[in-house]
Amino acid sequence: MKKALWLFFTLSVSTVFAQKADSTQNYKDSVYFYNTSSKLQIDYHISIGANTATMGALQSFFLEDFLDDNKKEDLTKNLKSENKFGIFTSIGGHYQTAIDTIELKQFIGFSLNAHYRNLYYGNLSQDLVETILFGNKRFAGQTAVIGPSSYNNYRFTEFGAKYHTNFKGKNTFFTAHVGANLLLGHEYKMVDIERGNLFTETDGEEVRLDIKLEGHQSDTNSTGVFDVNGIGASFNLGFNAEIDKKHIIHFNLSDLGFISWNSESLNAVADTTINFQGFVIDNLFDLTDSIFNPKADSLENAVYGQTKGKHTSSLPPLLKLGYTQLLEKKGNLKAISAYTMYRFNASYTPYIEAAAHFQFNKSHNLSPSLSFGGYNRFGLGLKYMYSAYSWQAIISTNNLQSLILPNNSYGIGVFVALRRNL
Amino acid sequence: MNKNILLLLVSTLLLYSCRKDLETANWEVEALSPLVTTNMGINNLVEDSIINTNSDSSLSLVYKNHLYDFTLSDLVDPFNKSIGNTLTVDSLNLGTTNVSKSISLGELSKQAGLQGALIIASNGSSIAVGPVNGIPALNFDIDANNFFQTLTLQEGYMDVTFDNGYPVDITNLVYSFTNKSNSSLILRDTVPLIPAGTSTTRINQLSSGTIIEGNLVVTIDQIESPGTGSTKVLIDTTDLLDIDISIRDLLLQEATAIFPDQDFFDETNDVPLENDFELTSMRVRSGKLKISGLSTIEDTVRFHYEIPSATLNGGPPFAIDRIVAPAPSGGSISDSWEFDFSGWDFDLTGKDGTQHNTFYDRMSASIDSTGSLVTLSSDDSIQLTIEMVDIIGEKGVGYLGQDTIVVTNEDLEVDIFNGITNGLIDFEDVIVTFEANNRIGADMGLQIDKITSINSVYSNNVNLTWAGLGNPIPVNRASESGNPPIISPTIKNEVINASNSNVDVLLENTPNKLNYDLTVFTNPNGNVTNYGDFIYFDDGLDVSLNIEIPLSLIATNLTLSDTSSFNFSNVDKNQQVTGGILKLRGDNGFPFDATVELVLLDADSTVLDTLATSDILASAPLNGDLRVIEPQRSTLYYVINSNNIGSLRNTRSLVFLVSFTTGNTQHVKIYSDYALDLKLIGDFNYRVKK
Repeated sequence: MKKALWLFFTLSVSTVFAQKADSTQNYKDSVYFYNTSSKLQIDYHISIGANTATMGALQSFFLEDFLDDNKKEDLTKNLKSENKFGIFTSIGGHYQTAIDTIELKQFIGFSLNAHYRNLYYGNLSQDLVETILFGNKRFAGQTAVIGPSSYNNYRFTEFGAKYHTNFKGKNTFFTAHVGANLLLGHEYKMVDIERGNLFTETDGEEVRLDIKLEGHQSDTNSTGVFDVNGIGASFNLGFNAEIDKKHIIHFNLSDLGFISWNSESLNAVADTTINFQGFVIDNLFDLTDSIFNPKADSLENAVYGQTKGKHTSSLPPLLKLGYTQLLEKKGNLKAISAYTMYRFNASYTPYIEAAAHFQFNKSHNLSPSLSFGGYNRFGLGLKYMYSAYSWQAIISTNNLQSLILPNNSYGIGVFVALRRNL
Repeated sequence: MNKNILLLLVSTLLLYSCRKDLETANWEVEALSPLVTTNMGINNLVEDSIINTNSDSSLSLVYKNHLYDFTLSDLVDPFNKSIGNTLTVDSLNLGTTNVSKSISLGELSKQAGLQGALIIASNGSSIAVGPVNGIPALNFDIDANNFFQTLTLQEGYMDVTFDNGYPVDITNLVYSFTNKSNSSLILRDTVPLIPAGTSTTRINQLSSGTIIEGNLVVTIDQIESPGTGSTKVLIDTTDLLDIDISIRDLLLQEATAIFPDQDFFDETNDVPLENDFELTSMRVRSGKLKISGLSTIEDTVRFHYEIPSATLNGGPPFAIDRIVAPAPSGGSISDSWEFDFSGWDFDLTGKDGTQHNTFYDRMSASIDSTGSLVTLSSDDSIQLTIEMVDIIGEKGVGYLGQDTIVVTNEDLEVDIFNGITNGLIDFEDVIVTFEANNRIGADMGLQIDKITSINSVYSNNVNLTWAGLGNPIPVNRASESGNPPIISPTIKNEVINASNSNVDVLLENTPNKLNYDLTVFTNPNGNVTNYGDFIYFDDGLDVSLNIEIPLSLIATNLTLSDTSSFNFSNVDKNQQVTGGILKLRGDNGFPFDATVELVLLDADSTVLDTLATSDILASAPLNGDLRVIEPQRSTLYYVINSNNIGSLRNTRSLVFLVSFTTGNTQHVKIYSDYALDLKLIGDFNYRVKK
């Protein structure tokens, strides 16, 4: 079922729309969200990747009911000292007023957007991944180095507004925007293990944990889909500069913000070494179940003090820089582009992508791409936009081989959108 | 159609994206961790309080248990006694009422016609008086209101005395008494002759129901005189016929009268205490004297109560005086008083000083006259009640009697071997002491008649064989000295051991109870102190059984069983443990091998499964003195498969079956520094997600 769902939302949308083309669309819309008219859009984006786990292994991890040892070996066979992963999902809508591109007069517009977003990302040590998947017995007689490692999860809803403007120069057309978002935080989990060593005695007589960590978690009693446990704000800004009708430079900075989580949040810090040799009891014959939970709680408290209180976390900002060269040939190739992207504080590898943009007629636009970075390795991408009447349907992926050869790829990003020009 | 697909797409995306968490697969890990660790000494196998460390650090079990005792409180019930007296007015004394009336000769002569006129005319001269008769009835009022208003008699007497002061004889004098108010006749009488110058008294018994009022009428119905014949007598018309009336010895049904001060009750009684002793004195530990009075008497009643034989701290005897106020007309009045007798000493030799268990008291009651008329009837009474309530003796002195107390078929629960369910044990020696602690000032005798060791688990009984069985053991009396007195008890120990009895076999039977018969003799030699015995409330004879077992033993598969509550589901709430190995690592510092089995019980205590292994916790090595050189490390492995896990999930209790076997045919001692370090280690397959 989960597999069917996965395939459904990544593939089926491309066959949905078969309507009459809208002659007002042009290939620029396939390159960037060009402000040619007022628009209403709903979109969904998912990006999943890990630098040391193949897409096939990730599919097993997320889609299988049970991981046997082979599947676990698949997940761990490429592990490195740093194992980065990220999963980002976003679903929502967007409304934008038009900018007059016919007269190219200065224009002021705005846009509104609302998105429900999930961010998972982190960087796990090899031993931590193996401990999680195989247990500490694998390290009997050894020390599993479980840090530095980190794990972050944000779940929030963002309501935003953007201010748009443009300027016309002699040979330039410049559009810029700045926006702000209200963030309703639903859930937050963060663990940052700065130092972690887990030693397991050969025969299990002792487990020794040397750890330094910081952890935060939003209200554990309020985990509903739309429960609000924090309030925050984020900002974004960007511009597109078209020069001589040939060159376009893109700049965008987003997710520059924070969420302040309420006083029910759990906060923990630890910098300790614990030798655990078993819970001490007076008499083995008095062994009862009731001794375990209180003693486990006290052990947990001994490892890290956990307190309730407010906590403010910052979102991982996303910076995007790009360049597009418009081609005035009469062929189908209308432009080529390249951009780089980086998400700060998110165990992110700088991402670069190069793409070519084809327009076959007024209805079909296709943009193949080649990328590297992010939580992925190399990716062969493809973006397709179909235009009909005032509608546009867009589907894109940055890693086609994940659909075809999942065991040889390390992630996938899928974007689907349905847009209507108003 | 397209709209429907669009809706489906949007809905799907919304549902997926709004999920709280990404779901992942389940997997299993191999978790290896210590679970619990413990250091067990002998105190974990037997109760801490009975372990005694000897000078050489070897251990003994010292077990003291109570066999039999009695104290004064067991022998004597609290003393309660009620002494009541109901006093009615028929016991009251109204006294004697005297009234008088005189009739002069002149007064009488006026009624005597011609002869009377002659007498009056002859006043001062001497004449011969002729016969006088035909005098009409004469009435005279008598006022007795100063004494009573009305009397209704059960019986009584009205005496009438006639003193003839006339110079002539009086004959055929008929008189009567009537109540003036209704002319009811009280009595009528005839006096045949009253010679001149003499008097005569007529005693009239008044019948039951006679009513006498304060306003009386005396009627001379007839009075005659034969005259003097020819003899001349001096006539003085002032000569008197005196009539004296005396009302006496009244038994009243009802009276409205002025009652005089009077004692109407005064009694001294011996009050016996019921008990089996012959006590000559007693100090009261607690208890009360309650006095209550209920009176319908319309006059003040004063009463007095005393116990001449009771004193407090050498002070005066107990005595109290109380007053019951006059009852309202037609009603009653009550009152009560309470006195704490704690600490009072009673002489129990009675009024004559020769008795036992007896004190004496005195109670008296009187009426204080108010000087006013009050109405009393034979139904009126004052009820006085004296109650001794819950008198408990603190100390009794006297002769406690000669008694034989037989205790048969008594069970003594023995818990030092609890938990032993199997195997054999052989003790090198056992010392059992019968300890009799006598805190009574009387000689005692203790006789052990039978002791049987009962092992209900094995259904095996062993009788004690000992030459002392059936022979009384004298236990001399306690003594006391000083003030306050300090008691010096007599403690008698009778020791039996493996050399003079089979007591070791008795205990190697690992009994859960001992059944015994014994006999206690009180004053077996009689009253040798001439009533010098004493006993205090808290003190008595206490017989206990002291068992000392030096822990020098040979154990053969001696199995201890202990059950503890254990709900595995509380530990593995999400059923994530799927199997593995449970390791019990032990550093055995005891000189015996040990095996451990775990029996899993469900909520109904039904056996679900047994986790067993052929591994043993090997005995520690011993030196030439049979002392442990160093602990021996062993590990017991319990493989837990999926079936065991299923049983564990339904487990509510764990039974530990631990079997010990000494590795030597010689007795080995257990020393205080012996210990068993145990560590339970889990090597589990653990499903990460449910």
